[in-house]
Amino acid sequence: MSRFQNNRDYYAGALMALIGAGAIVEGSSYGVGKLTAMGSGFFPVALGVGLVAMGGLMAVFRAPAPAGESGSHAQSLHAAGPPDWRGALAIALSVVLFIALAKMAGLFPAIFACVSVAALGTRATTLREAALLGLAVAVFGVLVFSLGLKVQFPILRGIL
Amino acid sequence: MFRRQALAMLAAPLAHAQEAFPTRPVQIILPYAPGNTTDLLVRALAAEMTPLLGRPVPVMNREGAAGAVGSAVAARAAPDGYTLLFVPALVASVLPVTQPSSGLRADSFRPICQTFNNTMAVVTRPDSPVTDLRALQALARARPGGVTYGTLGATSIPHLAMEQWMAVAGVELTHVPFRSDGAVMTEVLAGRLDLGAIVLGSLAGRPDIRVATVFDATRHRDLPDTPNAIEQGFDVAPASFGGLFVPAGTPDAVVNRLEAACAAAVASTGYRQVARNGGQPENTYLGAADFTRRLQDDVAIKAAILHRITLN
Amino acid sequence: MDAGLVGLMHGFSIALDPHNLMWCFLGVLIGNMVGVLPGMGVLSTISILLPLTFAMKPVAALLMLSGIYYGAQYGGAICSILLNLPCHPPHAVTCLDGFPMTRQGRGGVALGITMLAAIIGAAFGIIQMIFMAPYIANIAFKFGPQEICALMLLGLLAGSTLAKGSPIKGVAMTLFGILLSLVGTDVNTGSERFTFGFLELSDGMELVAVSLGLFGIAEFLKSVNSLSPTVKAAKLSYRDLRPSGRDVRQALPAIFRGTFIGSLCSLIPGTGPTIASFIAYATEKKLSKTPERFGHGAIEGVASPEASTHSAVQGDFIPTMSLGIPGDAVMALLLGALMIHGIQPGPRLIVEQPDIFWGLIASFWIGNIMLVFLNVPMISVWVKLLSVPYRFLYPTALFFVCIGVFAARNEMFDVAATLAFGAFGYLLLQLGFEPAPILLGFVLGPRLEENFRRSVLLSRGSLETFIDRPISAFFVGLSVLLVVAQVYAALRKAKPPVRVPEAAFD
Repeated sequence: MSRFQNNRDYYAGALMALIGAGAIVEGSSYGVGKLTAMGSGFFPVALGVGLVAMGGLMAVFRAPAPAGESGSHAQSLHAAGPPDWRGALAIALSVVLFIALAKMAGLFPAIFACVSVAALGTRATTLREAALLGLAVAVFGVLVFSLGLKVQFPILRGIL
Repeated sequence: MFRRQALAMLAAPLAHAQEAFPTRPVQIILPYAPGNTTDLLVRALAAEMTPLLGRPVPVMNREGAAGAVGSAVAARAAPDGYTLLFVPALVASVLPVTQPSSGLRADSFRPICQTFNNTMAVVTRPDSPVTDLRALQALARARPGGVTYGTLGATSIPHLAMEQWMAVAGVELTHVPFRSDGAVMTEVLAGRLDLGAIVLGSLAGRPDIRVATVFDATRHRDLPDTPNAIEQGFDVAPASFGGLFVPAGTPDAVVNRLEAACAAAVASTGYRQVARNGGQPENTYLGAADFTRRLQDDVAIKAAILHRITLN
Repeated sequence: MDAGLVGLMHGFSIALDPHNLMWCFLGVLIGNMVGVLPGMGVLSTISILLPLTFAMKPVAALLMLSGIYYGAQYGGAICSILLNLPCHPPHAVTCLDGFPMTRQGRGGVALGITMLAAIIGAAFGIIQMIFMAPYIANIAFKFGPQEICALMLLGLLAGSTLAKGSPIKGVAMTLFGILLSLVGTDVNTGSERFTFGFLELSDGMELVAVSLGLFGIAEFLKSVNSLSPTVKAAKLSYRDLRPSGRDVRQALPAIFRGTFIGSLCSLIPGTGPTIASFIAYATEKKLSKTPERFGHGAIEGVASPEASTHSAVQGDFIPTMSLGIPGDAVMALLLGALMIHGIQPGPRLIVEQPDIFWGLIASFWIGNIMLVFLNVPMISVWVKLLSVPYRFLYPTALFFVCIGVFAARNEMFDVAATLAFGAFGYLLLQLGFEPAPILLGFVLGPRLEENFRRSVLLSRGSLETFIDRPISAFFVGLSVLLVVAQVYAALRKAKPPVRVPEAAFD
C-alpha cells in the first residue's frame, strides 16, 4: 500500500477545501447580498462553504484503506496504480493537435493526427498500425462530417 | 484570354471594384439560434436581397452569450460589406456594458437600415386591478417594492423597459427574472406574479391574458382598446428595433448600395408578409441616417438605465 | 376521453398520409443515425435542418423535426452502454450501470432492455399527451418556483449517493457540480460568474464537454495501457444478447417507475428528459433493496433512466406546445419551428391546430414502432463493435469525442475544456471520488438556484414560503427525512470499526 493511497482522503479533502475556498473568494467579489436581495455571489459562497466543510469531514471520517470500494470507475483503479505517462501524453497531445489543426490545416489532417497520435499511446501499437488507423478514420470522418453533416471546417486547407 | 481577364481584374482600380460590389456572396450573421422571429425575418430579408444584389446572400446562425459571440465575429470581419450583421439595437446599446469580454462597443458597427421593431407590453391576469400604467403606479405607491413583475431575463429589453418606466413613474417594483416570455405568462396567470413585461409578439392572440399597456407612441393595430404609454402621460416607448449592420469602417459606396437593396427588400411583398406574421407593425423601415440617429438615442437611454440598475 | 380518441383518429388520418409518413420516417431515420453516432448532437442536427424546413408544409416539417428528436433517443444509449461515452445528455446516467454490464459481457442485454424501456416509456408518454394535455395548465399553475426548488433539492439529496462510495464524497461532488453549473451569465442579474474573461464561458460550460471529459477521456486515461483493458473483457456470446426472463422481471418494475418519473417531470414546465433521467436513477437506487448493486451493472440502473428519458421526451411536447415553455434546448428549437410556420403555442393550440397536435401524436406512435423495427435487429451489430481491440477503439472514440464536443455548439474552446475535465476526472478517480454526482449537480443546479432566488424574491426574503405551500412542504419534508435517515445510517455504521466488505460484486 503506497503512501499516496494511505493519505488519499487527506488529499481529497484538501482538494475540495481548496476549490471551496476559491469559490468563496471569487464568489464574494460578485456581491453576496442578503435573503431579501440576493447577490450573484450568494450561491457560490454558500457552495464554497459547503465544499470546505465536506473537505474537512473527509479528512476526519477517513474511509478505511481502499479494498474493493467504489463503483463503475474506480473499480479497476487499485489495479491501475500510477498514471501511465506515455498514454496520458498521447491522449493530451492528440486532443491538442485536433484543436490546432482543424481550423489551420483542415479536417483531414486534424483527424489523422488526432487518431494516430492517440493510437501511439499504447505500446502494442506499431507506427504503421497507427498511421493506417488514422488514415481510415480520417477518410470516414471526412465523408460523414464534412460531406454528410457539413461541419464548418475545410477538408484540406487551401485545396478543398 | 483567361489570363488577360484575370490580369485585368487584378489591375482594376479600387473605385472600380467598389462600383462592382458585390462580386461574391454577401453573408449575414445572425447571432441567435435558428427558429425565432428574428431568424424568420432575416431569412426573408436575405431572400429578397439576393436578386437585388445579384449574389447569394447566405444567413449564418452563430449563437452564444445573448448574441455577443456572433456579433463579435461580425465586428472582427473585414469592413468590406461582405459580412453583415442582423441584430436588435441592444447589441450596440446593452451588450457593450453587460458583456465587456466580448470587446463590443457602441461604435463597433455602422447601421445600414432598420427592418424590424418589436413593441414591449405589460400583461396581467384578466381579473387584475392593474388595468393600465396609472393603476400600476397607484398600486406600487401603496405597496412599495411589494408589486412583482417578471421578464425573460435581467437586462433584457422588457426588463430595461420596466426600469425606464419605473424611473419616470417614480415607483419601485420587484423584478423576478425567468427564461422565456412563455414562463412569465404562465406565472402571471397562476397569480404568482402581479404582472409581466413581455415582447408583444410572444402573445400572438392569446385570449387568456390581458394586455394592460403597450410601450409605444401609438395604439397597436391588433389591440385597439389597449392604451399606450405615451397617451397615459409616461414618455417611455422603449422598443426592440434593429436591422442590418456592417463593421465600422465600411466605405460609403458599399453602405449606400446595401441600403438601397435593403430598402427595396423591406418594401417587397415577400418580406412584408413574413413581418406581418411575426407581429411587426406596418412601417418598420428606416434608412441609414434615421436608424443611426435612433440608435444613438437608444445608446444614451440604455446607458442611463444600466447605470441605475448597477447602482441598486 | 371521447374527444381524445376522436382526435387521435383524425391524427392517424394525417400521419398516415403518404407524404407525411415519408417525412416522419426520414426524421426518425436521421435521428436514429445521429443518436448512434457519437459525433453529432440532436441540437446541432435540428439547427442545421431547421432552415430547410421553412419551405415545407408545417405538419410535415414538425413531424420530421420531432422525429429526429425522439429518434435520436433510441441510439443515444448505445455509446453510453458500450463505450462509457455519454454523448447524449439524457443518456449520460445510463453509463453508470450500462458500462459495467458491458464489462460483464452483458452489453447486448443492456441494449435489449433499453429497447423495452424505450417502447414502454414512449407509449406512456404519448398516452399521457393525449389525455393530460388539457390539464397541463393546472399542473403548471401548481408548480411555481417554490415547488420546483424543493423538488430539485430532493433530487440533489437523493442523488448525492448516486454512485457508490463515501456519501461525504458524493455530497462534495454534487456541490462541485452545482458550482460548475454557475459558470456563465447569472440569469437573475445578468452579470458573469467564473468566466474569467472568456466569452466562450458566458453561456456556461457545455454539458457534453463536462460529461465526455469526466467519463470519456478520464476512462481513456485510466485504461490506455492497463494490462487488462476493461472493454476487452466483454466476451461475445450470442446467447447473452437477449435479456432473459429474469432480466425482464427485474427490469420491468424499474421501467414502470422510470416511466412514471419521466412523465411527471415532463409535466412540470421546463424540466426536460436529462433531469428526468437523473432523478429516475437516483430514485431507483434509493428504492432498491440492494443499492450496493448499483454502479456494478444493475439492470434497473439502465432500465429506469432509459424509460424516464423516453417518456419525458414524448411528454415534453405538452408544456412546449400548450404553454410555450420548452423543457430543454431542443424543445426550444422545435418551439421556434412551430412559430416560424405561424403556429403560436398556447392553451388553444389543440383546438385551433388539430392537424398539428393530433397529427404529431399519431406520428409518435408510428415513428416509435418504426424505431423499434429499425433498432432491435441492429443490437447484435453494435455489440460486435466490441470485438475491435481496445487499442484501435479508443483513438477512434477520442476523435468522436473531439468532434462531438465541437459540434455541440461549434466551439473549439469546449474541446480544450473537455481535455481539462478529463485530466481533472482522472485526478478525482485517483482520490477515490465518483464523478457521476457532478453531472447531477450540473444538471439540477441552475434550476435550484434560479427558483430559490425567484421564490425568495416573491416572498420578500422569507424562507417560510417553502413550507407554507403544500406541494413544496411535502418535498422539503421528504428531503429532511432523507438526510436524517442517511445520518442515522452513517452513525450506526460508524460503530463497528470495520466496514462490510463490498467486494462481492467486483
